[in-house]
Order: sequence, then C-alpha cells, then structure tokens
Amino acid sequence: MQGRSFGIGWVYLLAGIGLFLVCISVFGNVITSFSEEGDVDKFSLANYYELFDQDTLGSVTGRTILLGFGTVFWMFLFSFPFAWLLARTDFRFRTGLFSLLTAKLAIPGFITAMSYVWLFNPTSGLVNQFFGMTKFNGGALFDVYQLGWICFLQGIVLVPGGVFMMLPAFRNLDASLEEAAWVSGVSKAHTIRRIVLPLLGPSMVAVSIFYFVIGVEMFDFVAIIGMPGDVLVMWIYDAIAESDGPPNLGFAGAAGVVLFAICGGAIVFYARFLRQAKKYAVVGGKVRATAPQPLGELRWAAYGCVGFWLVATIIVPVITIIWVALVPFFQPPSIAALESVSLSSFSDALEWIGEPLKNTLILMVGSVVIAASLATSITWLVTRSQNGMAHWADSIVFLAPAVPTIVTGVAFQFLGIAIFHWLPLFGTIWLVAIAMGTRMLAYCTRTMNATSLQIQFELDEAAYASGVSKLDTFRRIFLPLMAPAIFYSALMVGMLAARDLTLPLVMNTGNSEVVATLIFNLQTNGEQNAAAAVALYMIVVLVLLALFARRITGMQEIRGAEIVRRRSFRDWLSQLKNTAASIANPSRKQKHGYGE
Amino acid sequence: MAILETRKLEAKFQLRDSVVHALRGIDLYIEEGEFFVLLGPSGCGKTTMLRSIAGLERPSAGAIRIDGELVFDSSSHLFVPPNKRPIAMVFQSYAIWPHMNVFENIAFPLRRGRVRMAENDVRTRVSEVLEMLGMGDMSDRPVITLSGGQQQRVALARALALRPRVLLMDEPLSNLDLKLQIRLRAQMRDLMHELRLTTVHVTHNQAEALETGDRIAVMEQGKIVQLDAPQTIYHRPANEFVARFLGDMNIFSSRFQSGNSDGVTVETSFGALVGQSTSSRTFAAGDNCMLGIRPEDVEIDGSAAIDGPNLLEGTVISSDYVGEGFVHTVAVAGESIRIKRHHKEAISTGDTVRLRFPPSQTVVVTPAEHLISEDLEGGLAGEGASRAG
Repeated sequence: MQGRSFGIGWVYLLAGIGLFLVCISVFGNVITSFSEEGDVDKFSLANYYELFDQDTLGSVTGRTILLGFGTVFWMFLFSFPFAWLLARTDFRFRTGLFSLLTAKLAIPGFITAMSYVWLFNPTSGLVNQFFGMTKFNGGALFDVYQLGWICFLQGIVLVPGGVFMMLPAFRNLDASLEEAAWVSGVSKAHTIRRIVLPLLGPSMVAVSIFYFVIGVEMFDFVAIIGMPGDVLVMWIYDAIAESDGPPNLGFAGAAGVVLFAICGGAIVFYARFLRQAKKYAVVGGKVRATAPQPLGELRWAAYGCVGFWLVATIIVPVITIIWVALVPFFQPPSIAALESVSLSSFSDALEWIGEPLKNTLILMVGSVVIAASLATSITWLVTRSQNGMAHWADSIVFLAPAVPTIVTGVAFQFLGIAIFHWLPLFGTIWLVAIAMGTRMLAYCTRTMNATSLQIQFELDEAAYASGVSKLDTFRRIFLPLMAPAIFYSALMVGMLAARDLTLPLVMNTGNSEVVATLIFNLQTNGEQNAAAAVALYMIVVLVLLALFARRITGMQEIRGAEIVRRRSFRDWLSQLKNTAASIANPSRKQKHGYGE
Repeated sequence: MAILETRKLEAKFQLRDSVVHALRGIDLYIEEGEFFVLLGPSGCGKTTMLRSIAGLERPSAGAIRIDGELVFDSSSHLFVPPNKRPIAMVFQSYAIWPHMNVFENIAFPLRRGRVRMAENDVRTRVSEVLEMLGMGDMSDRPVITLSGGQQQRVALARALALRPRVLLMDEPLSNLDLKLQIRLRAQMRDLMHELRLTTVHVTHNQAEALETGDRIAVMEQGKIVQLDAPQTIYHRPANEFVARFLGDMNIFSSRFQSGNSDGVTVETSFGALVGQSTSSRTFAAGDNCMLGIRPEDVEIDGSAAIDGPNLLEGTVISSDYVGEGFVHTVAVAGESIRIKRHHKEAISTGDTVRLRFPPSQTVVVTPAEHLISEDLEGGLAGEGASRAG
C-alpha cells in the first residue's frame, strides 16, 4: 500500500487502455507494413521491395510534401491576419468573424471538395457549362483537378483551426512589452518587426508545422478531387480499395510508414518550436491586454480578406449544394432549370439515410465515450498523478497526431483481422468507432491537459491532506472542475466523428456505411442530386451541434473569464437538473443547500 | 510525549544537473498544544519540511512520528499517504475548491475523509466551526465570491472541522494585505491556544513568527540553526544569520578577546567592547566573531552624561524619517551605526554625538559561513524543486 489503493487503479487502468490504443495507432501500422499481403502470420520485407520498386515513389513523395507546403501557405495567408484582427484590432465584425470560423467547422471538408468538383470539373463543372467552355468544346475554363487547387482548398478550410491555434499566442503577448518599446522611442513599425514578430515567431512556426502534417495526411480533398497525380494518401487508399482482389493492407502499411516518417519528422520540429514558444510565454499568467489598435484604412483590406474567405469556404459551397439538391439532374442555372426545381431529393434522401444514420450515431457515441473517458484518465495520469510513467504517456500521446488518419485506419483494420477469432469486430462500425476514438484521444488529451494545468495542484493536495482518498479526489474535485473541458471535448469529438470521411471509408467493408461514406458513394456513382440533399441534412445538424457547443462553453472568446465560464456551466447544469426534477416531479420542492 | 517527532529527516531533489539538498537531518520534537513556527528565507526547506510531515512529499531518509504512530520511516520503507495521517493543512493559496460552496468545502472532507461522519454530525460540525470563525451566515455562499480574508477563513475552517492531531499551515497569511495579516495573526494564535491544537506554521515573515509562535525554529539551507522561544530568538540570536534575518541589527566583525560569566570582551574597529555571547560555540581568544546590537537598543548621549563601558563617539551623517520613527546614522571609525527612535532626537547632520552599546543588549555571535545573497540563490532552486516535486 504505497498511497495508492485499488480505487485509483481504475483510472490507471483506463489510462493504460488509452495508451495501448494510441500505441496501436502509432506502431500498428509499422507491423502491418511487414505483413505479406495483409496476412497476420506471414511477415517479410516484401512490401518494402514492392514500394521501392515503384518508379514514381520519389515524385509521389515530392508531391506529397508540396501538398503540405501549399496547404500551409494558403492557411497562413488567411489565418494570420484573422488571428491578428480578432486579438489586436478594433475590427468591427470580430464577433461575427468568430462565429463564422466556428460555423465553418460544421461543413466537412469533403463536402466543400464535392461542391468545387461540381463547379469546376473540366468536363461537366457547372461554371464551365455555364460559360459553355468544357473539355469537350474547346478547353475548360477551370480545371479543378490540379494540385494547386487541392492546396488552395485544403488551406482555406483549415483556416478556423489555424486561427484558434494562433489566438492564444496573440493574446498571451504582453502589451507592456510593446509599450516598453514605444515609450523608449522605437517606432511602431520597428516595434512590430523587432518585438512582436520575434515573440510570435516560434508559435507561428509551430502552428505551420502542425498544419503541414494535416495538409499531408488530409484525405477529403484528395479522395474527391483525386486525379491530379498521386500523393501518398492516395496510394494507401488505392492499396486498400483495390478494385480487383482483397485489400493489400501490407502495401498500404509500407506506404503509410513513408507518410508517417514525413509527419513524424515534422512533429519533432513542431515540438522544438513549441518549446521555444513556451519560453516566451509570460510567467505568472497575468497578461495585460493591449488596447485594440485602430485599423484605419486597412479595414478595407480586412473586409476584402474576410469577404473572400467567406465566399470561398462557406457561401460558394453551400449555394452550390443547395442548387444541386434542388434541380433533378446536374445542370447550371438557367430558366429551364429554375422551372424544374423541386424538393423531392430531400424526401428521397430520407429513404437512403436510415442505416447510415444509425451507424453514424453509433460511431459518434462510441468515439465520444472512448475518447472522453480514456483521455480524462490519461490527462490525470500525465498532469496530476506525479507518477513516473507520466512523462512517457505524454510523449506517446504527443506522437499520436503524427500518425495520419488513413494510417490509423490501416493499423486498426489489421488489428481487426488479427483478433477476429477472439473478437469479431472487423467490418463492423464498432471497430471504426474504436479507431475514431483513438484518433480523437490525442486531440482531447491536449485540450484537457491545458485545462488541468490551470487547475491548481493544491486543490488535490488539500483533499489528500484532509483525508480524502485519491479516487474520491479524482471524482469529486478533478472531474467537476474538468467537466466543462470534458464536455466541450466530447462535443467536438462527436462533431468530428460525424463529419469524418477518412476512417469510415478506409475501414468500410460494406456493413459499416455512415452518412459521410453515403454521400461519398452517391457522388462517386454520379447521383449528385441525392448526395447534395444528404450533405445539406448533415450540414444543418452539424451547425446546430456547433452552435450548441459554443453556447455551452462560451468558447474561449471571453478573455480570461475562466471562472465565469465555470460558473455559467455550473448554472446551466443545475438549471438542467432542476428542470428535469420539476418535470419528473412537479409538486416536489427543489432542494436547496445543506446547512439550513 | 512529543505529538510530532521527526528523526534525521533528509530530503533531496534531483534537478536536471544538480541535486538540491532541501532537508539535512532535521530532528524535531513538538509538544501537544504547541504553536510551532518554522521560519526562514524562501528555499530554506521549511515548506519541504511541512509537506513531508503532511505526506505530500516523500523525504529521502529519516522518520516521522505523529501522535505516537510512525508515518514515515526510510529504514523500513514505511510511507503513510497523506489521507491516512491525522493531520489537516491550510495552504498558501487556500486551495478552496471553487466548484463547491462554503458549506460543501468544509463538509467534503468530513463525508469522504479519514473519518466518515453521519450527515447530521457533518452539519453540526460545519456550523460549529463557521460560528467559531464568525462566518455563520456564509454557509451557502459560492466560494469564488468571497474575499481573500474570507477564503482564508474557509480554508482554516475546513482544517479545524477535521479536529486534526496536528494542524499544518503553509504561509496562510501571505496573500492577505498587511493590516488583515496583523489582525489575523493574533486571532489565529489565540484560537489555536484555546483549542489546544498543535500547530506547525511555516512562514518567511519574522514579525508573524515572533508574534504567533510558542517556539520558533529558524531554518537555513535545510538545517535548523536555532530553536527557541521568540524572545530568545530575537534578543539572543545564535549566529549572524539569525541576527540578520530577524529584524534589523547593526553587525560588526570583531575578534574574541576574553570572557567570563558576566560577559565577553571583543576587539572591534571601535576598540574593545563588552557584550553577551549568545552563540552555542565557545570562542577562544583571537577567533573571528560578530558583534551585534539592535538599532533601537543603541543609546544616544542626550543632555545627561552617560557613562560606563561601550562608549563611542561619532558624527551624525543622516537623520531620516521612516514613518514609524526616525533612523539616525552615525559614522564611527569608518563604520556606520543605525539608531532607531520613535521621536526625533535633538541632533542634526554633522553633529558629534556620543553613543553607548548597553552590554546586556549587545550580542556576540558566530559569523555566518555563507553570504546571504548566495543563501537566497541556492534557496530559490530548492523552492522550485519542492514545488515541482
């Protein structure tokens, strides 16, 4: 009995399971890459021979890296000014911009991709058709099937995430550092160049590297737009979804290792810059905010920049989808088309959607339960247990984002086959949910660690010193204080799980269709009208979820209002409890307090 | 019998490339009902000491016994976790649980702690301590709406409600404003005496220590350098470190000449002076020592002639108003002597004055081995380690 009764053992157990799953997603793929044709008992280097035999390996890897850089370029072009507008200026529509960025999270990348294919596809794109310039009659006006387009589209849809990641750095920049330079007679421009940018630099580089990884591993756009030459994710997908014969998990694993190496290398750099950025973080946490800087004439540029992004990422895709859903067959706007507008696709979609919707709900609930419970335990282990393993656990979880989603899919498919005799999860939505939960675990742990580190450690010690056991402290002190973060993470996981295409697509064996794969399959089979209707349903539900998430947690837009946020969440919970109680038993008086 | 006893307590922390020795063989015997103060500059090991008693930190060697029970013994690898020790603790940050109201903060350890009480008893106990601390009407208040002083009282109430055998307090007043600190000090001491509660109080504030403690242990670099009653500590410091750390003292290096039961004679730059040796060490002729006198104890030659030993003559170089009185600085043989008075003396800069160090108020102590600034540096690293660990 070294101060740890079995009570708290449960938390260690959950954390252990979580770390085990993360290990599978990190290393499972490496094991898979040695298996001959995805067999679980024959291992060799055959897949690597095959991989390095490919003449195009070099150019594909090069294109993959180019895709990462291109994505970061476009992401940064919008994210940096947006973060600056939100954090440091008197931009008039700051709240509006913040809401837009949140709302964008509700439009899945693959739906954006789909809408752009519908618009700018060289053979039948609506814009090309409208101007009468397609591949069939004298060359297309626009051709979306280019690497540049994928970079651009990936970049602009990643803007919200980028802004949310950059904002803390902007907000933590102590205003007095700038003011100290000004009052010492340094010009404003010079201050920005010599004080502000160097201080922001490491965080900005860290964000860029993080998004490089996402740009490289993102599958939504490559899957839908696909054509313009291979990138590594496409190789992996092709190996799994081979039209002739069974999926070649082994080759997918080997290609996955190359992708993992690129991402892992980037993550190592990311860690380095993150450390440097932390060095500049203001010690003590009390940061004085700057007075918003007046934009002056620059505001027109700001309106232009925000406007362009809004049109490109939200208005164009949504209008395109609505149009395609309304017209019975794929056609550009015309008088005739307007006359044929009908809502029948929406009612038809209801017939398709039953089974995939059920699967999507299982996927959401499953991954929320897995990610939230395991991540909470890991966070406790890493930030509060003072256990020697904490450091290792933290490193493993930190590595997890370096594993591309598609590679996680391969690893868990292989696991599914390997354990099929004991646990027939392979091919079911449950295996997808486990993979998804594991994938989200890293994200949840990061959010929760940050919150946990803000909760004074003495709050736990006060409980221990007054005789409360570790498990009780975990349940009564740690969990309630973490509740807002856990709840917020759970909502985000639910949303991300619902909109994810990659894992369900890679792991789909026919019995686990979800709404996202339904849309993808409809689109691939040329049923744009139905795909658009289902996509609209999905967007509406996701928007509602996103608004709900924002309302509950208030997001981080209220600066330094940690306590306010906790309070309001508590109030909301107690309100909910009271309402539930009064519904269940209207005559009973509400219990109030203890001491009276 | 001692209610709290530590034997040869050692604590070491491994930093990246060095080892901080936070406790170096501490032996303590604290009697039941005693208000015991651990005093020292930051990093002297006092917080590590307190946290080791609480079980929040694990010493590297030694033994701790609370109320007759061993709770830590390195030789038999015994370590009782904090929640199994008969203690309660008040933290510097108060560590009030923000998601609970005042009542729940106090009740939670009673419901879920070492001794689980029946719900009725919990209520009685909580209202008892709240009444005692004058917070009877605040039971339902969310703690985040309380002021610093009120939060401190909730923290104290939470600890008292447990009726611990030993109450541990880690700088409980340091986050309050000065006036409140002074008021609460006395209240706290009286309350603990009334309850006959054994208290170990850690502070770096010497005024707080002198006012509250029955006994004070002054710590420096992981060791207890003096353990005595407040008056003794103040008037009879054992070495230069204690003399400098507690209050203001004029200190001059000197050389030991001779000594008998009435006092000792030392050679200073002002000539031979007589004082009391308060050092535990016995000096031999020619040994280095320090002569010290508090600024308020130095006598100034007014109109009446003063006589006897320890007479000096010097020039007034400044007279400053410091709020609670005046500080005169007098240069004697190249050294400056500070003199504190509540009222302005009829002297002005440039005057020649005669001073007297009353032998009974003049102390001769062991010189400090290290400079204080060095002391503080090492200390800060230790403090960091004890927080991180």
